[in-house]
Amino acid sequence: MLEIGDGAVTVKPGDGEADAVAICDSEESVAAFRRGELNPVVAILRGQLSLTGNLVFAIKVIRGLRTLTPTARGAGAAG
Amino acid sequence: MPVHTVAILSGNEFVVSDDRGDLEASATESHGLFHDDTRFLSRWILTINGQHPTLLSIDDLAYFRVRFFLAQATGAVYVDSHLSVQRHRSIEHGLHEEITLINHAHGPAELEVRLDAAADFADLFEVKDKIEKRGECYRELESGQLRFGYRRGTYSRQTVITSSEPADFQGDALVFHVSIPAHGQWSTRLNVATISFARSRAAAEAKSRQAHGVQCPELENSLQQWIAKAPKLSSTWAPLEQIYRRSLVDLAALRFQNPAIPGALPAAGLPWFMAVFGRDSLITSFQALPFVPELAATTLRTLALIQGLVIDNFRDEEPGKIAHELRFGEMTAFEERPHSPYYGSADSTALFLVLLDEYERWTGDRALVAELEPEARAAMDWIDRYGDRDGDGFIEYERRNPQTGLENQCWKDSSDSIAFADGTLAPTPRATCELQGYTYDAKLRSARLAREIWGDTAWADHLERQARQLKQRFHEAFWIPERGFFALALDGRKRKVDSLTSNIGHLLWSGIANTDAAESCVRHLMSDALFSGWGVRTMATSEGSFNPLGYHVGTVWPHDTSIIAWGLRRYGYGQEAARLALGILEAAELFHYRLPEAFAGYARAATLYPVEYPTACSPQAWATGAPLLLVRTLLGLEPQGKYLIIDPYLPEPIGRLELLDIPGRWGRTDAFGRVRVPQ
Repeated sequence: MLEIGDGAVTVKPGDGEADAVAICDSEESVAAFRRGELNPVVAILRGQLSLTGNLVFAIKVIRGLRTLTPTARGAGAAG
Repeated sequence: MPVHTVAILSGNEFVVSDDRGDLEASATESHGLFHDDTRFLSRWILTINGQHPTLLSIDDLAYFRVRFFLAQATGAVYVDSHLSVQRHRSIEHGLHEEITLINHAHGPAELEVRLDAAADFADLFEVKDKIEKRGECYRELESGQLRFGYRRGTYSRQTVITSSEPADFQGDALVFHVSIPAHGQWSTRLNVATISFARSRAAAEAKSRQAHGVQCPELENSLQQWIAKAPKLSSTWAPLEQIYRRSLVDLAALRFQNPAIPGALPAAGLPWFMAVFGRDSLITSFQALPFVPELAATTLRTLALIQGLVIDNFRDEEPGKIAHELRFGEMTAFEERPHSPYYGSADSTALFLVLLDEYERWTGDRALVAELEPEARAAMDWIDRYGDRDGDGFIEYERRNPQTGLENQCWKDSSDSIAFADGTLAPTPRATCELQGYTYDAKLRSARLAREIWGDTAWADHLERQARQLKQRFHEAFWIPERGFFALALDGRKRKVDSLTSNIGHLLWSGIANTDAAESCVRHLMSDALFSGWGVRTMATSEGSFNPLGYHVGTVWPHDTSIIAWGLRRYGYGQEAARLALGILEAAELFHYRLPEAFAGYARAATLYPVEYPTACSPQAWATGAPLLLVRTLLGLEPQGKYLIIDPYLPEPIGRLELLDIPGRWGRTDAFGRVRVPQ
């Protein structure tokens, strides 16, 4: 779980309530994301990524991870 | 689109058929049921006892519903048909069709009703560019439903067809063996669900089945509310009321739902551009602001959400850049096209800032402006850091993606649009003149927002200083004194691209032209070389590349003329603006009240009717918005603080024009104009 607030991103154990949930189809997809090799829209279209919950927040976080500087403001959590 | 096709649409799902209601996709016919840029049905053909019914008439009064009245062919003109066939079709979460057969004979009718179906799952780019598919198609029959599927790795799409009456499935066909008593009737309801993601398959099928058949009450209510909320227009020139209503309905039809953001934004146009386009959505939202301001809010939020973050050569993405186009088809999924999203437009970023300011001026929605401050700052940063590629103070473009990126990243984005007067193409990078105008306007408008809402006076002063410098530099670099107008562009070697084009009219909208230069440009805009009598040609007849059928080098684009007319009003040329407005509105009347994307640039004196451009999208968003901006132009509507300024200037045929309940920061107000006869 990522917790976002006060301009910082913290990685925490994934056992709490989240504002948004992103589900990847495989560990390879997660790794490709982290390396910036998998575009989020491409991943969604191919069925490798699905988002639920607060979609605006989820999209901001997922896209923001490409720059390692999420653009979402305000506190929130994405699982 | 050719007149023998019939289209219904709802956001990004639409059906294009022939005039009997049949779909038969081919190299020349772009028929199909499309959703999310994918064709989910490529064949849907009704036969009765092996024969195609004959068309009697079509009732297409709603954009999402159509009814085909057909009759069983008898094979001889003097033999009456005894079988009526009705196909009542709608689109909302899939395709819904009710087929009704009425037997008018004195005896029973034994019939084989057959629907041949197929799904090729072509990406719209494959349809448009005739590209072969790479994945695997399959067909399944299960518990009374016919399922077509397509898979390529983890990518999968499905079409599920069900019927209310039991069908005999024969290959790709649904066959009904029907017995209708004398003067009796038979009907079946067919449901075609489109499924984009395996995980949401059950939900999509359920949603499609629950879509209330062909009646679509939700869409009907939504349309009625949309029209009821819009200002009421009346005029002594009756066609204007029809044109206005058509524009409102077509804008409703083009509304594109985004699951992440409540509301809707305008998709660009049927059939090729039913997608989010930065430039088109921004301009259409601008045109529609006095009528349906909510479109602008959704457009701004959506484009902010997908604003560029990184440098990505494939997508022409840069930090702060506003997107050009977002697609959902297979070629985008496999990065054979860069539209995930694609950022190849050099004007969307400035237009985003222009719309943000204009939206606040109309609505007083300071909260949205405050919410989008980071995106607005990023956009301005893009203009200064990336838009101006070489630090000469002008915005210029050159694609990062030379394989599948757009060569021209201005609104005239076809490959031959930026040419010298002798017809030779200008080398890149290209700095087109209207880009500088939009940037000038964006800086001044952002300065106002910075001062009044973001509380940053220093930045406001800086932006205003930049705008003044840009205006001065622009006149020095772009003005062609020997011809008396601004160059279309500066080319890669900073030479003036000296063609006379409609782009100079956009400079009036932006306000970058000084008074003397504007006066000279107005003379050119109203000359026979540019003004066809219907509208302003994209390129003057005097230029080497002029072609009345050239997409961006001679045709008339209604949205282009509407922007120019509004620019003329800005500079005090009310009479000229009214003349342009009347030309386009009279053309609209002859296009059955719906303006196409573009039409041919022949002189009005040469033809009684405006001549169609063969592949124009219709409805197309900013053509649909053109009459709205022209109504604003004729009434001279301009917000000033909490008041709406009304300064009408009407052409004589439009004797009187009334617009009631105009929404804005003033609540609702009315505007009225009439022709003043000189004493």
